Amino acid sequence: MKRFFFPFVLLVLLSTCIDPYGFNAELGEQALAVEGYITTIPGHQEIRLRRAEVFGPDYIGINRPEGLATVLIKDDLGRVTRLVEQEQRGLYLTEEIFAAETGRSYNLEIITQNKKRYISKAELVREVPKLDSVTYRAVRIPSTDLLNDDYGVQVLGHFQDPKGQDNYYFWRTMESDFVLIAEPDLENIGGGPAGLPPCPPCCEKICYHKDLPKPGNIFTVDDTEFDGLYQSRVIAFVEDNGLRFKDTYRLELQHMSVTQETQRYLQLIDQQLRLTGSVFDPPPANIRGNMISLDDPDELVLGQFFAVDIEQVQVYIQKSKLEFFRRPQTIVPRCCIHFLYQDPRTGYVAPLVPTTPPSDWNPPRD
Amino acid sequence: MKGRFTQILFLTLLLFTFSCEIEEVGTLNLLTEEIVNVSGERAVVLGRIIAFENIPVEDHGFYFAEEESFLDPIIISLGATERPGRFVGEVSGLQLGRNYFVKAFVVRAGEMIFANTLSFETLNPAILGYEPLVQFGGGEIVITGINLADDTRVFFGDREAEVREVIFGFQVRVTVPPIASSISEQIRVVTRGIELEVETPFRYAVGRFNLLDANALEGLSIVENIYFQQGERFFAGMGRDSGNQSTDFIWEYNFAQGEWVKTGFEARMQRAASDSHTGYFGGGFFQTSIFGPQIPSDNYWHFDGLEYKELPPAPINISDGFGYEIQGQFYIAGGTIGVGSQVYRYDPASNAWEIRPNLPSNVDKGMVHFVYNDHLYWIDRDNNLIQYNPFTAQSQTVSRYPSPMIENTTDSGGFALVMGDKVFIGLYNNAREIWELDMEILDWGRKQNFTGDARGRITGAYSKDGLLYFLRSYLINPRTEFWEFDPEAF
Repeated sequence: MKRFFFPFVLLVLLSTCIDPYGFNAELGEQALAVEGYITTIPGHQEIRLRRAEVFGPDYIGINRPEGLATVLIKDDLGRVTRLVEQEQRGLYLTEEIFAAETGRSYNLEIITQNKKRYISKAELVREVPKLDSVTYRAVRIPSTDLLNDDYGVQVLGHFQDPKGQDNYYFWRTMESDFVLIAEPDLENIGGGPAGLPPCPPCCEKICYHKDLPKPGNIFTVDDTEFDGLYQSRVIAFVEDNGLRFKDTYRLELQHMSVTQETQRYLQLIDQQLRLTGSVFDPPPANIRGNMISLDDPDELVLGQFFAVDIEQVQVYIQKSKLEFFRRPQTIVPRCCIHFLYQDPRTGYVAPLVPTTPPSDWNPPRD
Repeated sequence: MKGRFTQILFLTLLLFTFSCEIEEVGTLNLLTEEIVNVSGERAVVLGRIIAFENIPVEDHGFYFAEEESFLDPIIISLGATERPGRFVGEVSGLQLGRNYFVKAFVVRAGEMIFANTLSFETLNPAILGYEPLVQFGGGEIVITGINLADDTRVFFGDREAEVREVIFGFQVRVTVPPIASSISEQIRVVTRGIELEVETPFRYAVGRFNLLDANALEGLSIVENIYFQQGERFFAGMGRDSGNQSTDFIWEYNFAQGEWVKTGFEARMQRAASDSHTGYFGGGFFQTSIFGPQIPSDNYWHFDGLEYKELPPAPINISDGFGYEIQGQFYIAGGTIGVGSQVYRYDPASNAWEIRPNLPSNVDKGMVHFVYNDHLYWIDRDNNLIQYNPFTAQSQTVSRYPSPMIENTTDSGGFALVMGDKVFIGLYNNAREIWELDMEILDWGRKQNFTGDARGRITGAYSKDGLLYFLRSYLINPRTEFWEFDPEAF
């Protein structure tokens, strides 16, 4: 019996060895990614082209810009506008006078350096119902931290949705300005960052800084459930990081009308952005845009080209009008002009934050 | 009992038989999904094969036709495939402005299957414009339009021009045929049999130069001088010779004798003075000798056609500054000493100088400047044409000088002559280009390049009877040449 015991154990051990599975993910050709949209406001409209690298555990490389392409915008009358590539590779701009027209539909056509041709589906520009007013309110959101809630500001748009007409809305927050309040008097107490020049007593406490509102969620909606009804709905949210609402925050916002396809595309993107990893999340999915390869219709092209009617909105969010905000607020223990200061050892010379407001800065008086 | 059992069994079997699902292997649906884009002669269409598995088909594609019956179709064949999903068809060579029908097809096991039919209308062509509006024979213009087909032909009058390229159906690069009998031609564009006429007539870049005197001003190569015109009388003088000889005189051109003769005016050697080109001049520097110190001068004169009348001394030293006359008042401005944008005005009525608002930027005599409709215009060294209202002190950039300027070589000197609503500008130092600027539409038209030696500088510019006259001085083989330019001759 003993004769068979060890060979049997050996056999069992051998049979339990795990052979690593040699999985080789197929790395497809880098997909062309198209970013950009055109609006009814005259100006340089931009389209950005990139090649998306494969995303995975192994670092493949950065998303390289797609340069030397021919980029054309065509309307349904046959008018063609050629976009010119800028010094920044992969960035293509129209002339400054270009603007989309409501009622017209537009196609984006791209011919890449290797002569591959792409065209977008036609995007119709529909007039956006104008906003009557924009208001805001402070909100407090339960967070994963049981002791501290999250704070932020919801921006509400008030407008009449036209009856009997399909409308698809999209609101986009743009780079905004805010008053940066610093507390340089506290520098000597708390000790500023290493290498920062000591702050003289007269140094600046109020600056005007730029900020891209976070989080970058997409606000979009279709009017299926409120056709013809007056709307007062949340069109933007800016998280209070303790710094933004120490004084005045001027939120730049675009109020747009999009097509049904674009609204659906944006909604799916938003769904993916809001994934938290919980079991209730929708599964990650491949979202198809409206760009088509004329040479190979099965080729994956990322991005959605769209053309919109637009209303630019500015909202001055003033601390004095907020019911509550994050406490304690973030302390900046240095001159505000040195807010972007980096240790010289990093080799990066940060620009000074301006102390003068933007030329069109005009907040309402309290 | 047995019979009943048999009946039940039979019924059950019958039911089983009828409830069996007949599995259809490889069914597909075909869809002509969307017209993606339509232009004049081209259309892009999407089709889709809907199936739950790979189904091999021998061919797939689209039928295009002008009739819904598809009797004489244009067939776009995309070949065999087995993958369901969308496919794209692109057709070109369609007739402009026609209604077309399209339907997708597949060929499966020898059987042709068609999808639904969609229709679209191809667009009509139109011309939006062309540029430049003035060009030399053999040069290139670009015509911009919409829905131009690849067979586009362009005619200048009755003569066909060479089409170099049709760019994406909206631009046509054309070589201008040589000038024939007229400086203006009507452009016609023919695309897919449709003839379009361009609204603005094309103009050839013309002009003829004629050397009147190869050794004007007694053989001197005059620089840093002044020049002016009184009616049809041309004057030039002061400044210095390029060999640093003093040129204390003012010459006048005698048309009868065809030569420049000295007038009675004599001044001390005075250079870099401001002059309005209308008879007011002065300022700049005195030099008592060639190597003597430079002394700022405040001497100003006005020649009224009869005599040189001395003005009161200016309250500011200006050298190489602007001089211009607006509504009978003489302005001096800018210059290379002092602030560079200060302005003073001499009013003949009060015989006094007064300070005026500064110009928006520094100016000097090396910048071309002229007066049109009581506004001062000048071209700065970034090629901007700036309009300035001397009464409201408002300024704006209204256009750009089209020729490239090369720092320190061609961005100084030159001339500007106002003739009605046209201004002739050009011949910067060491440059050959002359442009005609239409002040009503601010459009620049090219003129024939200067045919003489380019390495000179303008030291006088006049106009008479629709002709331009100019003095051009040379530092190599020092001399001053006197030229006539007919802007309409060819």
